[in-house]
Amino acid sequence: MSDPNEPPDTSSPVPDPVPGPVPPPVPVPDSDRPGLAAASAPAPETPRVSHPDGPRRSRPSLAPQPVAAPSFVERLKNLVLAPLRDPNPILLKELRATFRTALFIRFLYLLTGVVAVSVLLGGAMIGEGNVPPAEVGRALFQIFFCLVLGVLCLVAPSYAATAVTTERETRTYESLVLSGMGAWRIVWGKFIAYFGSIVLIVVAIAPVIGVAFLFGGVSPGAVLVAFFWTLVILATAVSWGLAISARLDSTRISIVLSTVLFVPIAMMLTGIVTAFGDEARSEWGTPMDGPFWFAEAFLQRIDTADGWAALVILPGFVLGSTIWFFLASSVAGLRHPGEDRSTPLKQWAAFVSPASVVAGAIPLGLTYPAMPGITHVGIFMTVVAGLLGLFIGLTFANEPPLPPRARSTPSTIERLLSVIGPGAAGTTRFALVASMLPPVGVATVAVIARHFASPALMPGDDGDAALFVIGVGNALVTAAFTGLAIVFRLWSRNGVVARLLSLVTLATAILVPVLLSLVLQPNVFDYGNRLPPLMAVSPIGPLWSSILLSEHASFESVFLAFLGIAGYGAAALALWLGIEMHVARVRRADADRRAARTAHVAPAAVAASTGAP
Amino acid sequence: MIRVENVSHWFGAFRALTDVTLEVPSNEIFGFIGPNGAGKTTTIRMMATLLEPDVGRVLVQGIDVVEHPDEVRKVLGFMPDSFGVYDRITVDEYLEFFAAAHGIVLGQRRRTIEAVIELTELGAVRDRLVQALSKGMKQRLAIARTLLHDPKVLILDEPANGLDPRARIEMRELIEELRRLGKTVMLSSHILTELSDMCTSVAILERGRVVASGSVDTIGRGLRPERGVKIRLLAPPEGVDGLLAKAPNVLSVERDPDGAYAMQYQGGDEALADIVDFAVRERLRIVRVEPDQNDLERIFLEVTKGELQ
Repeated sequence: MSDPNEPPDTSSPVPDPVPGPVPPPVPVPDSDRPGLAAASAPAPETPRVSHPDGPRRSRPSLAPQPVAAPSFVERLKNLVLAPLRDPNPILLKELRATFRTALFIRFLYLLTGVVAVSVLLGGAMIGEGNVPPAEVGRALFQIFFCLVLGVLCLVAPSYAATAVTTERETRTYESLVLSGMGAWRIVWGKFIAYFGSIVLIVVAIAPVIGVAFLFGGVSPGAVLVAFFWTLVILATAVSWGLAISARLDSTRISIVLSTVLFVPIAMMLTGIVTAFGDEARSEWGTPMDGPFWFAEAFLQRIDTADGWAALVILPGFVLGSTIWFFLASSVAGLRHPGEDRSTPLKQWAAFVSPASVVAGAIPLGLTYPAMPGITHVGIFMTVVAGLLGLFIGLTFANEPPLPPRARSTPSTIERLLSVIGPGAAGTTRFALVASMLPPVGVATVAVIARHFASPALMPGDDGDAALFVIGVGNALVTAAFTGLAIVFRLWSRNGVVARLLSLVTLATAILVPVLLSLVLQPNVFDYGNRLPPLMAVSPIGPLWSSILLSEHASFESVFLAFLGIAGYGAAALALWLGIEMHVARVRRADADRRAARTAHVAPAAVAASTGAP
Repeated sequence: MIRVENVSHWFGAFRALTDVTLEVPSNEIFGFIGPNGAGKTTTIRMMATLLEPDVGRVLVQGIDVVEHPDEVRKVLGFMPDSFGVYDRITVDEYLEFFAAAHGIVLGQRRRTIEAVIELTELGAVRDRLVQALSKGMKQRLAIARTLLHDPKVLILDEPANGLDPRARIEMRELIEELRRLGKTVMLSSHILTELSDMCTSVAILERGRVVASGSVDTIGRGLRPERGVKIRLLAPPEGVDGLLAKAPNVLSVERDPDGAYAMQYQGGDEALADIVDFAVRERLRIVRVEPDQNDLERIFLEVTKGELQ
């Protein structure tokens, strides 16, 4: 340690230090030599410290330099070009780290080699018989994309599952949080970095598909469409892995969980897509089957509304909203339990809930103008919308009673929106509306479609009543179980427990009436148009009733159905009011506790304990 | 600058902090001392917005860390006791990443990084991969990171932990340089001799309670008014201990086995100067004056009970 009063060091190129209090750093004028400006700036001097490697130079200024305010055009230009000029720092950091890993490069070589060999071998085997070359080309096309998608559906979620857990395990996460980066910025940076790496793998493998063109039967457009949807599916896989990673501390558990859960879902969805391919082949006569049938089908139906609706808008909505959900869930997972975790998910739900009504109209539009078909498709779509509503409701079943203590000065819009949270009371209001909207909306759209299909309905046609029962019934069942899940959360203080309990209750409420009905009257389900009385209280009562109503149910059944629906409505209302009252009680208790604490913490007490004046 | 007001915190049923109250004055190097498990890191994590106190509040520059964590993070730099660094990027890239993360605009980023590199003397290793750095250099890099956004307050949890002697000296110089730059520095450390050289104020924590807080001198005098000094003389005459006992403010004189005269006296530096002056006037040939340096160690041992925690 040098003595502040030691003689000045004349070897130093800067003025001699002067002991004494340090004035705050002053802005330093710009220099022609960027990077050295701060170091050579005439900043206020202080005593220099001795150093084994020689004397320090003048103290650099860390204070931000003044910058001239940009003009409106410059601001606009900066806004557009900002992602290119100054991309998300996590993107650059992650890509650098990834491409400097030998394992990644080896994996890239290995995968490209395996895919190339598999496609060539496949081509050789298929081409041995008297198979037309176009068939071979189409088969290679399917083999290539199934291989790429299959391997990367294993790799992408497990790779993304390390995104946040490694930060936590290597203790870099805290630095990231303290840097002031918001959770959205972190999640987005991680997402584009990990997805970017996956895209680069796909790009590296892409030339292998050229083999298919040697045989023909595949158009370049179909290849582009297949690549596009492959990347969208892989984006879903990456976002899923990221969502898992954001909620766990262990990389191993995160990798295992994300892969084990994603693979069966991906396989199931592949099966469904392939099945739709068979349907499309019979309806539209598309030339290709297999999981990637839609690539050629889209090109064939590119000039038709149903082609766009079934092959672009509907899958785009499903996959897009899934990616958004996983990203919002990641943001919630990154936030501390004391912070606002529900708002990102509310933004997602605020879009998905009404958009699902529009999406639900697509299958109805495809069915139009077959009126009986519309009713049945409407019932089916309303059931799907009810499940979505339940999912939305359960998503918000992890809200603490009170809003987070962290707060900034709220804007007018924020003050207005505070009616929907954060906090259990506001979030319950939002969750109830968002979960009820899809079934009610889809059922309403189905009713409108019915009336468009046949303005003069036949006497005795109960299709509208059936759609009303399923729409309102599913909405109220959803609302009741959403309320129940939130009550479970307030009671158990654990979101996972709350969701599990409410799902167990739901399963019990479905099974018990069925079993009891069978015990009391074994042939109860044989009466075609009559609703078994106990089924009226089941959560699937509205579905049962609507199917009966679409086939002319008895008055007794209609009455029972309405009674069951009213019961769920009353339960939802009671649960909601109970939540509101509970939260009001907790809020009062918290205010009392804070008031007591404020009275306890007197400044004098602090001064006395620290010796401060 | 930092105020901790009646903070209590529980981990499950375990009460980690009990009514902790302390104040870190502006532009000081403040030592936060305590045995393992005393609650130092818990308190520090609350100051750094990483943990919410169950009861009480923490203010950094008058900003509540719970209510406005984002604002606190703008004025605070925190280096945890065990921290990670990204391995496969260079020092320069590492700082660039955090500069961008802090929202430093592109035009100023390079200048800020250069300034921080110069301050922490990382220029020689700027193109080296972080994983290739020594422990001391990684500590410097961590401090460089905390300085990027020019925070007013720095909290360094065990900054000298695991460093070799040379790296410790360099770290101490860096911390003192930071104080001269107008920063308030809060340090926690087990190495009390390190802290006693640097810290102007301390707080001692034991079993989740503050047992002493304030300037080292004030606490020391409060515990025991007398101070000690060893004086070595060249060819001391007979009966010199009796002579030294007559010096002003001297309470006792004893001859150590190594030949030095250990004296207890009352008062501060002025009293010590008077003693030396007296010895010179008595023509005693002084070769060395060694005041008791380890005030902090003595304070720590006296105020803590040393129970297992």
